[in-house]
Amino acid sequence: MQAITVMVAHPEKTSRDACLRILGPEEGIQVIAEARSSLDALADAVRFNPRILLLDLTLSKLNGIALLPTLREKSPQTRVILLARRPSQARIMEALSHGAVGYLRGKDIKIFLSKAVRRVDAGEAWVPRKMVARIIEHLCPLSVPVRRAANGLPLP
Amino acid sequence: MLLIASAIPSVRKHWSQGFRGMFKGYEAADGVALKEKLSKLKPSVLFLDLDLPQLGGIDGAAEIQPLSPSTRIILFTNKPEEKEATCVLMAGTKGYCRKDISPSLLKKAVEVVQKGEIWVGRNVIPHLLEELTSFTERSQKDSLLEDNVSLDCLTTRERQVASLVAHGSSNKEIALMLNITERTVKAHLTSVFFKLKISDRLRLALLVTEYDRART
Repeated sequence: MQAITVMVAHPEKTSRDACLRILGPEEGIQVIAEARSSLDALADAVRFNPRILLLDLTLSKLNGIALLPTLREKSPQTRVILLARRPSQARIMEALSHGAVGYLRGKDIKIFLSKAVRRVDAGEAWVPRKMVARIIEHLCPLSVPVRRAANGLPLP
Repeated sequence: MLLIASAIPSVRKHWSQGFRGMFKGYEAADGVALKEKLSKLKPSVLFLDLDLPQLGGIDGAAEIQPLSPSTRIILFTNKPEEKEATCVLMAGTKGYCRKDISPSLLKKAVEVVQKGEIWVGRNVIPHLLEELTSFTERSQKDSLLEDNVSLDCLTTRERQVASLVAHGSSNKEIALMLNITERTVKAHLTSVFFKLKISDRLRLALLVTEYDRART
């Protein structure tokens, strides 16, 4: 069976190495490329067609999210999982709106990275349940909105 | 307070199993009774069998929400389908699952929808994301065509520089190609960024490509 090919795009070497360390021993998963900037990431993704692209949300000065539409077009079978330390909901929603299918936050990366890669390769998304209601609200702004308190949590 | 709507007594029994003593359960066996009880009781959660007689399937289910806007509706079916799930969720349903869901999972489903979250199989989420992405792509194409922020506001020279950036040329290469100084190239670029309200070459490249494509 073919290995799941993964590419890591993150400006910091320590973070890229961490992903390599976590995924290295995993059977059936192979990291085939690394990138440090958006332009590298895009060029390499198009060239290598990784199955999974692990993309840092804040990739270099260039907006990581900006490459998603082109990636979707030029490498449609690549599925993007975002990596972010403490991402804002707005940024995540923006990335999901442009084709990302999952995200992992700082502390979850170590625990869930391999699982997320396998699930996303199998066609699933990797987003917390709480995100689903927000996705729907985003899609249907005219529908009855969930009433939210000041901190963003839904009111009963 | 819970309202259970199904024509099949064994199904109603199965659903109410986990809730005896916890919820005051009310029942309806057809669409007429459902509408009456829904308007009158305004339950916090409604379990609705999609096969309910006189309901009208998913279209009917979408239409009953206005009878009690605060009620969280969970739809049940024997044959869950991802596309159908996506449609009902976009219509405002809070949950979609199999009729033979286990009582303990059903309790969890109620907890989840009461918190304002959605109860649906994991396999549905990629479909929702696909909807979201297509929706975004369509909106952006529309706004690119309608917006006054179009490439028409650029001067000829600025337009030339923008196109060359979109093709991946560096400032040095552009300078050579247009027979101007690098400093001038940068000045043009600054003006382009300002007029288009963007701040980086990658975005510029994407904008130019999209703009050209939308016009062919």
